[in-house]
Amino acid sequence: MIRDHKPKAVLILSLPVFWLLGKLQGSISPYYYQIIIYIGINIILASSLNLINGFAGQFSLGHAGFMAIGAYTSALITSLIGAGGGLPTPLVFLPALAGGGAAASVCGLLVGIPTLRLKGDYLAITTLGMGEIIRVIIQNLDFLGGARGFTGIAKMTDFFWVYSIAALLIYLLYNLLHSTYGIGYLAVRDDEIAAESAGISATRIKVSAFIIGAFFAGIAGGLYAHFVTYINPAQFGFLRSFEIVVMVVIGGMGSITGVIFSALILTILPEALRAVAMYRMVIYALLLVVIMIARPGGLFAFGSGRKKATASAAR
Amino acid sequence: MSEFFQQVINGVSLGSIYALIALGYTMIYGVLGFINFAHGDVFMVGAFVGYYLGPLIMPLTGEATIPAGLAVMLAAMIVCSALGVTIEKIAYRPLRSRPKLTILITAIGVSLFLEYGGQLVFGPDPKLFPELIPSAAIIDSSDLVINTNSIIVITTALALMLILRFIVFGTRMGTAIRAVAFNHQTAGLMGINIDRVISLTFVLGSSLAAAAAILYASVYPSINPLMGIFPGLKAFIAAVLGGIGNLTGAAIGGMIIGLTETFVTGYISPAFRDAIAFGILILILLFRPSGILRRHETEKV
Amino acid sequence: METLLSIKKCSIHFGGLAAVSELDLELERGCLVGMIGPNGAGKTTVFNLITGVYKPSAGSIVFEGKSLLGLKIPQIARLGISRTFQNIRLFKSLTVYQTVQAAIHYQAGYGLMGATIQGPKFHRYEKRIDGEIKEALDFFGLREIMNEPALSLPYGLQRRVELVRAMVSRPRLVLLDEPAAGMNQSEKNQLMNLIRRARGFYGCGILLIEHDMSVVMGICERIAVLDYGIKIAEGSPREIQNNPAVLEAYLGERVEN
Repeated sequence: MIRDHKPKAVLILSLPVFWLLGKLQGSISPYYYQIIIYIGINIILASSLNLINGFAGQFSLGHAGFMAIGAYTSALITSLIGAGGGLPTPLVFLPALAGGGAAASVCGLLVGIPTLRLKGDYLAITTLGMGEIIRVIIQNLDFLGGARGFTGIAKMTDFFWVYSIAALLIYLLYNLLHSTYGIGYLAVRDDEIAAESAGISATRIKVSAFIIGAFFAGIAGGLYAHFVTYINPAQFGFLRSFEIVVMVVIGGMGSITGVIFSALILTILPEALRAVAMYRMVIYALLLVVIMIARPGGLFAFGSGRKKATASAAR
Repeated sequence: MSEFFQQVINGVSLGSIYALIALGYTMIYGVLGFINFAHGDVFMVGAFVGYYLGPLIMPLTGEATIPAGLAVMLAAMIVCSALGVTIEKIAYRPLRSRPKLTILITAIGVSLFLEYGGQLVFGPDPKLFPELIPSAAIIDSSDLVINTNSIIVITTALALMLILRFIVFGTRMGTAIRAVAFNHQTAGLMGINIDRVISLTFVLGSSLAAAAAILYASVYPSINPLMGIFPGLKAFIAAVLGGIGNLTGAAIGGMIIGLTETFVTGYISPAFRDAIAFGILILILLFRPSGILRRHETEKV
Repeated sequence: METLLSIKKCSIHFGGLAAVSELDLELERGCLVGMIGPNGAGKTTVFNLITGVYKPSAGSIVFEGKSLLGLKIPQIARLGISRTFQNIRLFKSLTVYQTVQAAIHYQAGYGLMGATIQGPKFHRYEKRIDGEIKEALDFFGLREIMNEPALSLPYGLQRRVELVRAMVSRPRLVLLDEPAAGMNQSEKNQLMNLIRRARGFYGCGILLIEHDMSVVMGICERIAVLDYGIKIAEGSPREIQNNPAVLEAYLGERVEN
């Protein structure tokens, strides 16, 4: 691996750029601003799921559950700390997000370990079930607002927060993918027995994928909660998990840039279809089926992703 | 004691319905190797067929009589079979050689399409299902009411399951289905037309789902385009519980889920109605993923 | 001679049928031993027992003084045992380079943190790893095509990629499962050469399963013969060739010498 300074440079340069862009918030309409924030949050969600589904090859259909935990935990933290008032936002927000991420990653551990032996459909259904159970548990916890939801969350999320975290995640994923350690993930995904016979611990790979993926999903949840200021369990159900899965699959599993693009498109699409709101979901479902049949390798799998799809087709 | 008996009847009745749907899941999984998420929505379509066709047929057969029920059920079975076969041909067949996740996503896509499409076509609000089968109380004491409804549901379901058993184990086509379920390639080499067998499997599975829908709607007469989600999920769990790919297992699993759900909501709390099934699912998948009556699937190294 | 692997009275049953029965086998460092026998004799099962895919119902397996029983597959691999597979198992989406790289994953020297943060230690280690991978690729003649998807290569080269994957981590014991299957004679000669040279270069012991007698007799120093899970003969190639029990196992009838 030749020393490649580009990614680090891009990351570091992007931070002040995002900070500047964040300052421009006032100059665009709230509607477009909201979409831009959602795009960023979805990039984090889809990329974190990409680590679990695309890199490590584990079908996880319960990602919204991790998001929910992050959302609620961070909301709790800010409502407890922030209540005192007077503390600068970053000092409150950062621990809140980190706390949300940590709580979610504990959950990731709890999901990843029991499911180690499961494969394919079984794994998908189990993670789906676990996501639902998380939602049901939250729904029954009154101190979190139950089904009525958690209101009055401080609006701390802005462009800078969302996009610098997204950039950080992308940077970490890119590095991981371009390292010998990271190849272990792809090997486990492609052939677990061959990988283990070559000394790779599939357990460690899968569990770490869940932990990290859940961590960032939790952070995304925290960002989301502190943007919409009101959350309830229904927002984190199976449909949400499924939307994120679709972003990863259409982007090309394991393709970093592909997933970013598809998160972008799939966030904008429902808005663009708002004009035909009634038919929106039907069109979405139809498009999905068509894409799966026509281009199952993903619409946006450029470069490395495309090569992977071709290689498996060559079998 | 009689309340207990009441719950048992209710549980068996509900369980039979779940069993019928579960059989569809398990057959399709056996033959194609994936979970047909759209199965629960085929069930939903069956109910709506009954809703629209009921008032048309009943003037001919008489209101709330057994012939009425049977005629509507038959009609629903035909429509749903056609639907199932069409879905298979358009959405699943092109993906047969693709990785599992692709077809899983497609199935979910079809499911969403049916659900939201149903909301557009039928309207999202619940409708009242016509009374197709006679619903009279045959035993009516202070705490025990046994309705002909329940009896008819149980006997019809049983009859259908026996017919299915005969088809699968006693006919040539049935043997072909079992062969394909065992091994695609070998079955193909033996001259079996895989496509035709798979279509037949969808016909059988979808018919059972349609029948289940008519029975279900007769007991719980409020129908809406999203009604297939939870019964579908529970029936799927029943299939996994019994050992996916195993017909007897699906029937047993359906009964267990039906009885458990009835008893838990009856004696503990109605709030857990849906969570119970998920709990069972997680337990099975963690401790005995191959189900009660397993079908051995080991990976050869 | 140092003992590398010691299998004693090892058996495994699959539902009443003994796939391997009371096997005794000793391998020394740097040996080149062949395992032959009719189809279904249990040869691949022995590999699976050694590598931890199966757990024996009885007996012991000791590698460099350490018992392998109860260890997980990756643990056993990290002790210095690697293998190839009867029906090639390559990584569906990886290039030749990445396939070999996967086998060095556990020797990376840094963990998840290092991989994502990529400080100076990471770059040093990666450079070293890169060197080792390229050295192995050079040795096996795969350097030019190292960026091709492994599965796009012709069959013979795919087998070679599996071989490199098995060797790059410098294991002390390599299990080769029918490495010559599907090859023509010139490819087989190349393979035999390669195996001999690799053994010399990497200093590993090799246990190979093969059906092709020219390969087995050509490179093996010692041969064990299995039939119905039982070792019926063991010795030098010449001894095995003249062993009536071996002939009977293959031909199924008594043969006069």
